[in-house]
Amino acid sequence: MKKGTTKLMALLLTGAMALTLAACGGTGEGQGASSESNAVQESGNASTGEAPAENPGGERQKITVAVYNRDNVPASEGSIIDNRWTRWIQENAPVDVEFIAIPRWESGEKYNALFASNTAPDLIEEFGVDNMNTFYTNGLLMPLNDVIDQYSTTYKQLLTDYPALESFLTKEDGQMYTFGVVNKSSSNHYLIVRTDWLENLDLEVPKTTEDFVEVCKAFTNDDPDGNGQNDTLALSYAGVMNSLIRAMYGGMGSWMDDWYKADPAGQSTEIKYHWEHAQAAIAMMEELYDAGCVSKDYATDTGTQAQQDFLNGKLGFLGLNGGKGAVLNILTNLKANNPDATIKAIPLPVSEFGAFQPAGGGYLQSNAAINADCEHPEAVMAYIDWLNTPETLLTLKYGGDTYSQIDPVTGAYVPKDQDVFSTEVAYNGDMYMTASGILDPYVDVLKFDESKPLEKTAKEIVIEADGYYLDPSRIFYQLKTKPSLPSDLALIQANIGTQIDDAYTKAILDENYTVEQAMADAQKIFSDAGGEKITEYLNEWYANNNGFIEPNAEMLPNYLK
Amino acid sequence: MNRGVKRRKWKRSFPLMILFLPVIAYYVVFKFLPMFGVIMAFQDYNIRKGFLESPFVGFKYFRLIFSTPAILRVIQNTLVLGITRFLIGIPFPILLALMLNEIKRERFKKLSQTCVYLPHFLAWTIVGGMVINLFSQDTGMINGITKFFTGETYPYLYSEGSWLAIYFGSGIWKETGFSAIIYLAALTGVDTELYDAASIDGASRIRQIIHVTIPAIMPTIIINMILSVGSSVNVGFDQIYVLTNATVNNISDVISTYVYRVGLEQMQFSLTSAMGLFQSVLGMTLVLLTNHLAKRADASLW
Repeated sequence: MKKGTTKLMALLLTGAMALTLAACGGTGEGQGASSESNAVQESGNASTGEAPAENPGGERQKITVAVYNRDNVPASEGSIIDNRWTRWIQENAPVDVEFIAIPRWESGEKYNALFASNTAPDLIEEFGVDNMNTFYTNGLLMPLNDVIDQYSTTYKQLLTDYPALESFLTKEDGQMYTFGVVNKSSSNHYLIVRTDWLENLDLEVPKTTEDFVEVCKAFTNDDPDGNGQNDTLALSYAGVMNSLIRAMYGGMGSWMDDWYKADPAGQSTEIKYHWEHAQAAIAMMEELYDAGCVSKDYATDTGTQAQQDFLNGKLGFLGLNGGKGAVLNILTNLKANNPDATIKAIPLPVSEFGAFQPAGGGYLQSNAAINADCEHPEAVMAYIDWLNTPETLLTLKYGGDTYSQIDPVTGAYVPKDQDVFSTEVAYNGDMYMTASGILDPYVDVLKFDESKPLEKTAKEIVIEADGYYLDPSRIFYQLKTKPSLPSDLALIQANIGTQIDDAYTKAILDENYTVEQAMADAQKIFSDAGGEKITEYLNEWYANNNGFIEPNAEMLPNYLK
Repeated sequence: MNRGVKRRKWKRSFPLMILFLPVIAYYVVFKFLPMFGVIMAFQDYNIRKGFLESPFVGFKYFRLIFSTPAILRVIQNTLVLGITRFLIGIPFPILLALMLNEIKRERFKKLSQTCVYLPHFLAWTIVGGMVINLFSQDTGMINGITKFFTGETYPYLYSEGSWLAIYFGSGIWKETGFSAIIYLAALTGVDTELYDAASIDGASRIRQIIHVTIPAIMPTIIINMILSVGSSVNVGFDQIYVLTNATVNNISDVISTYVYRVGLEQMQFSLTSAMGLFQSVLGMTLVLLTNHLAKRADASLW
């Protein structure tokens, strides 16, 4: 019997392997449509030294590389791990690359499964800082300093040109465990308002949080759309709006991030949980909720319903992320439903704690790492070096001259045919996520077609928003190094985090549960679970690590250069 | 001679054996081998080192479980929700089966039977979406009705009592029809002469149900109870995950959702294995206990 089982297993395995081999065989064929596309001429901005990755000659080493699967590859193009761009990379990269698909929204789970089964890729690509920290704490990532010193060319140059990047990436033990990128600072989270509603009610753009509350009440009660019905609300707390409201009070991301923040006014460097910020934010959220200005069902919404309500003319404010592209998308859909609607992005209302900025596209980002079990780190390094050349970046991002050309008027590098570009190029964004955005000389030029009225309006909104959201006189919090907590502290944080979140939400929704009660409960949860241990750890970490980057007014203009 | 018979028997059953192999392989690979993973609960499991090299830490994680209020709360929620759902869930399939059994018109019976067990085949994501739409405060139908009568809407999904009712109610709505099938099958086995005798003695329909039908299906009821008591501490992930929200989390966060959030997303494998093991031991104890009680009623499973 036992023997039979073994045989059967052997048979099954052989079958599976045959299939795998067949699948691999397919990748070699087919012509990479853009393999002949030449690199675009230099425009002087690419400051990194020209050191095209060398082909070591002879046999190419083979590496496996992660790529996010967002289910956005058109059927005609194949799959995310086998398409014209993976083939182009296989033909042009200095090493032999095999891609491994990582589902974008379950990346943590997928990586854990891959690590557990010893099949994680050599090059790990992951945006999630917390996930990367978990891999690091578990010893799954390779220290990179030696690898970079010995083998790197263009990436090493990048570290020399932007010393902030190295200190940003360096961990407690003086080693870098992740690769990073340097991007142009860009706006990402937008606070969008219906300007036609403001005009109808003769209201100003809210400057302070008190104004914001007033405008919200007016949007709810004073029939801003003038249809004679009481059918409008101000906002929903689902999705990005939650982050925006917290940002007004100097908090970012999840509620737990209040912890990491030093004194927002820059007076003290002590790290602690800023209860008073959270309390002010919750109090305002409760006031608006009780005044009936907020979608009642926001707690069961992930943000989709909020966006839909905004597009249907039910809401006056919307929290939007995704930067430029999302603005055009929202504008197009809103105008389709209601041609008279007008919108713009406004700076975050100023609270008693100061004027803050919403989350932006990071200037520095850490998003790739080498698997500790990787046998050829030098091959992975060669691949990273090759990615960080303008030629590679421009070909992957714009499809090279095959798909794009320089617009004589705007100077932007634009698709020759937008439809073809959308189908054949646009899906490959995650393949070059570890190439620094500053290597792209065209990155500043907005890709809007001004001959179309909607795109012209969208461009105006974005330019105005960039003016607000990148204004260095306001306080930024999105750029900061977060240490990885040891796993026992990470557990405390996970336990506290959800409970405190729940108490806050309950304070907003439940009439019989006051903000003061919620704050008292939250603080009790915090101290009972040992939250002070984390505070101590963080303070010690920041005291011993000068690599802690906190942006301030002096640093920002440099980011924007 | 004897050998000849044996060989013939072997030869005859050989194809069946081959058919049986995948089933054995399934049990070995997916049920028995993973049991060794329990060892993680007693180790500081590191994904790189694996089972063989991760250091043993004894009962460290079990001590951690019983000293962390947040985790104890999760275990408490699991027990309360699981056992309540189990107790509430017992009578409904039986009642439904009895009701269906009393329907005399064959076509109507078939039709209603199909209708009531259909929800079983819907995924929780779908049912959850329906439930949330139905009870939502802005647009939900139930709140439309509530508003018509009381003038105000009620946060059904955001207050603990009504959320529990929705949680148990949706579970019953989805699964009752399907669970009733086993009782219906038991009912067809009841000797019709018993009913005839009872009606000659002047027993009404209700009396017949109480004194003939229920005693006849009692063994089935008890076996069913023993089988499901074990899984009562194993509150399923999907239903909670789709129905929960931040206001009711402190009663709805159960072991399965906690394991998903903390174990998978934060790599706390040892801790969550320890929780899983604890949950299984509890389930096993409950099964043994119920079986012991049932033995007294002469209806035990083994």
